[in-house]
Amino acid sequence: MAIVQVPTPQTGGMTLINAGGTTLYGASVIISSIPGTFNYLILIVDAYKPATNDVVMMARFNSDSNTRYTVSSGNDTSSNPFNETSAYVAAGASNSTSNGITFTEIYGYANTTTWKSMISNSITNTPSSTTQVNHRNWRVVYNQTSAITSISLFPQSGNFTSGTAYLYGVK
Amino acid sequence: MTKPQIKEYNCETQIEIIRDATDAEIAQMELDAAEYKARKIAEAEAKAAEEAAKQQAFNDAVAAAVAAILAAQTPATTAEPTVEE
Repeated sequence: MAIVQVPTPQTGGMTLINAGGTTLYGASVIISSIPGTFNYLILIVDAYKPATNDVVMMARFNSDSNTRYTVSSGNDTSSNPFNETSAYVAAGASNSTSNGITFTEIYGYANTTTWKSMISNSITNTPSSTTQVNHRNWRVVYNQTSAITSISLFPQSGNFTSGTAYLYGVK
Repeated sequence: MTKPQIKEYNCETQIEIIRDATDAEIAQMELDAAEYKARKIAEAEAKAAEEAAKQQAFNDAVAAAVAAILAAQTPATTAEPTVEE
């Protein structure tokens, strides 16, 4: 009689790493000492509102502001240069109304072998007409192999007014 | 003058602090703000150029249509009689 070994079911699931979420405040929010025990990260930002109208929200890994990021949207691309100093997270947003949400996945964040890949899907109230929506899908590559242990979020100019960031680890 | 504020949440300790930005962070913020300003100017210029191109295309189309109408309405030129000696 053949014996079939059944694999142990994976428990998996998502864990909120920054307990309770982090309210966006000031010129920058840094989520640091991110544990490297997950397979990938999900960052959800609710209701991002910048102090200055139509300012995008950016992210940096490990406080790295060198030109080590590339950003693309839309169709497949090739031979992209690494000419950005940060990653796009949220579209330019209204400074009066914030019904937006941003969903971002960061792959390979904990390993020390691969470049890091990030996909961001963002909706914000259109700054010039808040009953309309700005919708962006960005793909970002960060060309470093070091594990990501901190993520900085910041409006590209000025301060945050409000919003909340939730960082989840996924197994 | 107050310095820009940074909020930092440490996932290990679960402690959140708010601190002044360092000089290096402030310098980077100024670079980011300059990049933002340059991008907004570039976007505005691109939009203006697009609008100008649309307007020019419209003007060209109107001019071509007017020329075609005038050409259709103008009688063929009669050759001047030659003077016979």
